[in-house]
Amino acid sequence: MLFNTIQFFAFFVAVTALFYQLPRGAARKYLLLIASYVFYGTWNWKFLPLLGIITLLDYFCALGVERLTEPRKRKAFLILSVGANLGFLGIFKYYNFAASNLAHGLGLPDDSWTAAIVLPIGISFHTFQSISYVVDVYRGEQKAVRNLGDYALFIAFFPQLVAGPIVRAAEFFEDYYTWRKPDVDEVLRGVLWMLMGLTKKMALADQFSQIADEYFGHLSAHPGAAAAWSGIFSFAMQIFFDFSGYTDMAIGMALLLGFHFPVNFLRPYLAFSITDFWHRWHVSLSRWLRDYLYIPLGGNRGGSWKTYRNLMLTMLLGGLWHGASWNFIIWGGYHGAWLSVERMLGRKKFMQTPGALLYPFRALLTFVLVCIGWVFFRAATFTDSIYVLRNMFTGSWDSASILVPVWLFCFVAIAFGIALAEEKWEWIERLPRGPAWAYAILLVALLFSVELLGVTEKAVPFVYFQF
Amino acid sequence: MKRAYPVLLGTLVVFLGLHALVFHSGLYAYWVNPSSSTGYLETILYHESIRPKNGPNQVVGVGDSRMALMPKHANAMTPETGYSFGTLGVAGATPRVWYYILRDADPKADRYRAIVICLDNYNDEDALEDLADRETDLSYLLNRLRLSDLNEFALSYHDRQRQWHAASTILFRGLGYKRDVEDLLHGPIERARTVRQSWRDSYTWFYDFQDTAKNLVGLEVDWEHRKVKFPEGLDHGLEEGILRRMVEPIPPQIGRHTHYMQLWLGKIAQHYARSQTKLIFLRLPRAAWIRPDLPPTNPNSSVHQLEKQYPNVVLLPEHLFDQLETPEFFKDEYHMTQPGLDRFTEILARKVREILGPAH
Repeated sequence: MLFNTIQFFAFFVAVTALFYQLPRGAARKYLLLIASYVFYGTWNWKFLPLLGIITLLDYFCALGVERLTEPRKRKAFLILSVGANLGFLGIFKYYNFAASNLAHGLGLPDDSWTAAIVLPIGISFHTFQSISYVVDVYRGEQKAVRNLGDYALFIAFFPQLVAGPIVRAAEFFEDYYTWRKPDVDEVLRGVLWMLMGLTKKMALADQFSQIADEYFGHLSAHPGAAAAWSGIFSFAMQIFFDFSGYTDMAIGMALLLGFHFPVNFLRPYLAFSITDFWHRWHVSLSRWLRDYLYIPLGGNRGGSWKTYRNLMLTMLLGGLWHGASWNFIIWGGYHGAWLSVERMLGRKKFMQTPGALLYPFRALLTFVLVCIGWVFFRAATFTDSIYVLRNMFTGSWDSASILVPVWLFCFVAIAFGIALAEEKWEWIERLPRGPAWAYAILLVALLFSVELLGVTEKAVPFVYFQF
Repeated sequence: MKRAYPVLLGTLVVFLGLHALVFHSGLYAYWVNPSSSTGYLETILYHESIRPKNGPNQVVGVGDSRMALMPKHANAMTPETGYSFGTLGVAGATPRVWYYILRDADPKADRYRAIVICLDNYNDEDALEDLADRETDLSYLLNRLRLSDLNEFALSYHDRQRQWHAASTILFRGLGYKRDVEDLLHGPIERARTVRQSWRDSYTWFYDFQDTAKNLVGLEVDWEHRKVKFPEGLDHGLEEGILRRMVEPIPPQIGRHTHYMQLWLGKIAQHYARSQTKLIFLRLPRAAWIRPDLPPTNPNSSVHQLEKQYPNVVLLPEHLFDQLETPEFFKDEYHMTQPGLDRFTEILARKVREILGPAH
């Protein structure tokens, strides 16, 4: 059940209506839990037991970690939980990658030991959420949840189950235990977030996906620099509008149910450095990688070279988290290298917003660098990536080969203007408190955009669902 | 303090109001690409609305691209027949589309002395395609379908997804205009120019249109060996089309098309049930060469039933146009040459005069 389908809309309306009809307390909790399991089951009900097992395991491990006093035993429970989560992830996501590379290394056919494994949707997200919870309990930053239903809901809560944002237990349970009905402002914001997300997904991401798919699916049919740049520009737009559209919808839905999710995208293409980009792109993953990987590795505490090593390791693993392929590892390494370079040149330069004159050049350069990274992210193979890069930088320029129509550029320009205004005034948060007519105009514009420009012939899956 | 529901409800009302203004008032339909399915049908209806009509003796033909009535040629015979002819023929249109065209062109069922309905056969022969599931019908009728048609039109599709697609598009017409909007955004100035030119000049283009005289003379079919000898210099695509129509197996006859024709021809008949308008059905010249394995005549087909049921329904003799079923009068596997069309029109105009009697 994709967010951008009428089935999901009906499901969400029904669940929300029922939620507010039920008395506060257990009934609402179990409604959301059942709805979340139904939502997950519509993808593939066979993976429901897996979700249940991971939930039970981490629930008991966290209790064990909290109740035991002996450090060795506490650590054992932590290792059991983290190991099990990573084990499941490893089996489902990385087994075939490891097996085919090992076979290749031994001179055997790549598929010698591979198996037909279906990746459970959302496993990368909910296992990271589980790990963070048990680690937080181990660190004493979070109390172990006593009620299994409460914990199961934290893991399975349907708005963010399959593609985040990765919510910390403290954030979720703060809302959960002190739940209050959303006020007018929150309802209006919730609806606005949902509709903005839907517009981003259907009217922009899905439009750009057609161009990106055409380009990357038929590379030899589109030679030259103009086609290559428009192909990668389209993918850059697709992945941003797709993923941020999804999380906007998740945030909006959660808000309507009385939960406050962290913002996952802070206008990443306005970043003026790679360091700044990672403070704006997939914020909940960056935060997770920082708190549970980079800092435990030593962060920036061991001198320059160790800092660069930790940055590289974090980004390489971050790349691998996205998918089991060398291209994702290269993409992670590419970003890790730029983060290290920026750190080497002086962190402050890349953290503080440059002056108004310099900013556009820095932002443009950062966008180009990010686009180069996206080549590895999107291309099917390393060879394809090199082919695209070669075309981008050494191919001949023929304007007739530009794949993006002018009107789509115009919509990107509008989105760019909206992002700049949001960066300066944060008007999205403030709009519901402003005049009703302004709010209504925006909503009407979004509705028309979805109706007239949204790709509705088929529901296009979200890019991040594959991770 | 502001309340959420009034704001959201107000927004919805504004959206629906604007939506109705743009898509249900004909505002957008005016700017739709004349070459699109929607634009094409709108153009044909517009032509019929502006066609000079002298008096009540009006006859109009409906059908698809094979609709062979040429109004200009038929009207040249007005001194002889007394009747003026128009056409609502739309290439690719099906009986379902014909019904909605006639409903809008003649809402009170009183504008015409006769409607000539051109059929491929009188037997409700099943083809490979299930016409009930033809998606393009929705594109043609985008500006014609009303909210009150939602149930009937959507449920006339057999496929669930198509039912849903039709229902949602009737509710939100913008969904159906999506491609047209993209096309408009590609070149708004060019669109404006094309649209203006089409509204201004297309009536003459259509009315004066002369089809090719290039025919299929030289076509020979060896039915026994399922081989076709094509005329010299024929296009490869055309050869394939002829092969498909002349020698490939006919799909099994399961009665699917009967149900469809009963429904939509029945609705046309109902629309004219209490009117003075005659519904004249005819079988079009079938092809340049007639294969011997066609299904036998079905005396209980939809048109035969309608003839029995409604006094204003007339079936022209099934073999009236058989004389035109020769390579000389066909340009491809379905369509006639200009001489063929002219001959057809002459026969039809005289036959209509015979059925309707002298003009008033």
